[in-house]
Amino acid sequence: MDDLLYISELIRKSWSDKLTETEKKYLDTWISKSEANRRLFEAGKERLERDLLNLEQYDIESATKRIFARVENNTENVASLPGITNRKKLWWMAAASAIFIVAFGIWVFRPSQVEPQAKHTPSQIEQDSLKIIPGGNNAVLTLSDGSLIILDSAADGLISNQGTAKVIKLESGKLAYNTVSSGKAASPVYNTISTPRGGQYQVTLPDGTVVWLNSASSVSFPTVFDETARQIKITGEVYLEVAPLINNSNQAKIPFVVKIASSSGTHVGEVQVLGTHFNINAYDDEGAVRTTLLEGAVKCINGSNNMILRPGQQANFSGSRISVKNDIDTDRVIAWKNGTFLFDSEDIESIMRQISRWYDIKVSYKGVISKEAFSGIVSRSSDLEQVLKIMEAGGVKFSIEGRKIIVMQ
Amino acid sequence: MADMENENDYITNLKKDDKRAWQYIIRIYYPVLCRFAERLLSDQTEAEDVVTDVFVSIWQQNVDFPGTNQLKKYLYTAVRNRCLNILRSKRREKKRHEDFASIYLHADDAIDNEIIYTELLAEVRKEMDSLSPRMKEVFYLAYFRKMTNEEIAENLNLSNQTVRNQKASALSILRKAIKPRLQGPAAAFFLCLQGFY
Repeated sequence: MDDLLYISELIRKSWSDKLTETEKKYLDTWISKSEANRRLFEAGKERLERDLLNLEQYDIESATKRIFARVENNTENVASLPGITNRKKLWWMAAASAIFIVAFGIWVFRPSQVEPQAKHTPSQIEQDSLKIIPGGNNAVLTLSDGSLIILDSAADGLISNQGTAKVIKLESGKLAYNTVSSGKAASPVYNTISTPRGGQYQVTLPDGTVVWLNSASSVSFPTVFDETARQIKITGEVYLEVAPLINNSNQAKIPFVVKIASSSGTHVGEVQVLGTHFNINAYDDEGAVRTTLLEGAVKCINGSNNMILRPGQQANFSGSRISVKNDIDTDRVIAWKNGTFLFDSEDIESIMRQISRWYDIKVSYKGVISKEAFSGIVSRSSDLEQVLKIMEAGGVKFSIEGRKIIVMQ
Repeated sequence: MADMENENDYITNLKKDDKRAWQYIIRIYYPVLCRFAERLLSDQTEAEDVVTDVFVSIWQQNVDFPGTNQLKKYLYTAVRNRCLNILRSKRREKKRHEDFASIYLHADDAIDNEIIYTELLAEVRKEMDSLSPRMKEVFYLAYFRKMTNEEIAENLNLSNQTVRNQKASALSILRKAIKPRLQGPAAAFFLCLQGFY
């Protein structure tokens, strides 16, 4: 019986996680034992939603009353139970559907306000077999002397000594800088980490600040920070958790300044912070630089204008102006960092820009571009095919030519 | 994990006749065990009777379960054995008149697979149950009334942000439902899920 519970756990784990070598071997052995085992493993998740819904045919409330009555020979105590109303039952069904979505990315990928189309013709996607896999933890580290280290192929551990700092590659997708001595470096040594399209990476800077880089993004920073000001330069999209830092000699908080540049290197704005969490989206094709604050406070500077943000606010730089939006859905803004595409009433162009960066594909449109808004949640570890299928269920049609996706209307 | 602690509390309270603990165990396991029994017996009423009997009997026996696994093993084994007994007696009854056949009488593997699957359903159900009443309400309105965030906010007298947060935390909990509790290095690898929503 222990073995059955363990197999069940491994199957559940295999849906969403990587199994360890031992676990995988154990599960594979079990699967290969019989045709029925293989069928259970393969069909398990597809059956799940249907069966979870079917469970609602059993009347839990009367069962509970029956059991209580037989044990205690009365039903008084049951009367005070929270009633299982029809609504409650429906809730279980809603959650059952939601589980399926969360696991397999099918959900409300439907035009907001518009009912999903009941029928659509056989999907073009199904006919084309080319598989476009999602991006992963890839990045390139450029050292001060101009030498390059490809981070996804470098072994874990010490990579390089940069001035008084050690560069250490942690487990998959992470890099850390440890300062060896507290002595001041004669001149700051700059490193740059850049991710390609289809890449993402995380780095802990020498002061403890953590930077997450989305695809096609970069961060340049000194390997040892100055005692009076910390300054880094970014392009693309990054999420920062800035560590507060105190100057030992005068006990002042050391400010952290983020210089924002376009992909060609032009300065497009600046954000000054003390210790806080925020996201900057500065992709050239997004039209505006958007800084979203999750915690703490930041000062956004664009030319001669500046603006202080509160948590939940977003600053938009366009030209030399700054406009501020309130009540931002911050979960949506940093969904990328947490491994998800999360769309809440977004137009197709905005969605496709994000998809094209992560899957490194080109997107073009045939006919009028729809202004309909879509909502949905899809894991960034899904293959492109899966993502497009979900969107097709929402009424968008695609055709695929190699690494080019044509959105049809 | 908070819900895990909860669950162990429930299990240890079963012996103390804690009604909420029994309600919880019945809520999670009654339907999945009924489904299991129905697969074996091909009869819903019989299946529900078997499961009801099993619950009454462990309650009355006052069994002490040190943890969830022991409870699960007891439940699955008890339901399986009772179902097999019913199948065997049916076979005896009908032997003279007609051939009585159930694949489950001769195939332990088939029953084992049903148990594995029942356990999958039970674990997912547990996570669904761990959502707060507010989250459940938000979910209900979103799915069955097809309300937008704004409409839900108005209906429940909440701010838009709260509705979004409730929805997001619910999704995050459900995401965990299909992801077993991670331990050791695997947990570190999935750091990106922490703090999400």
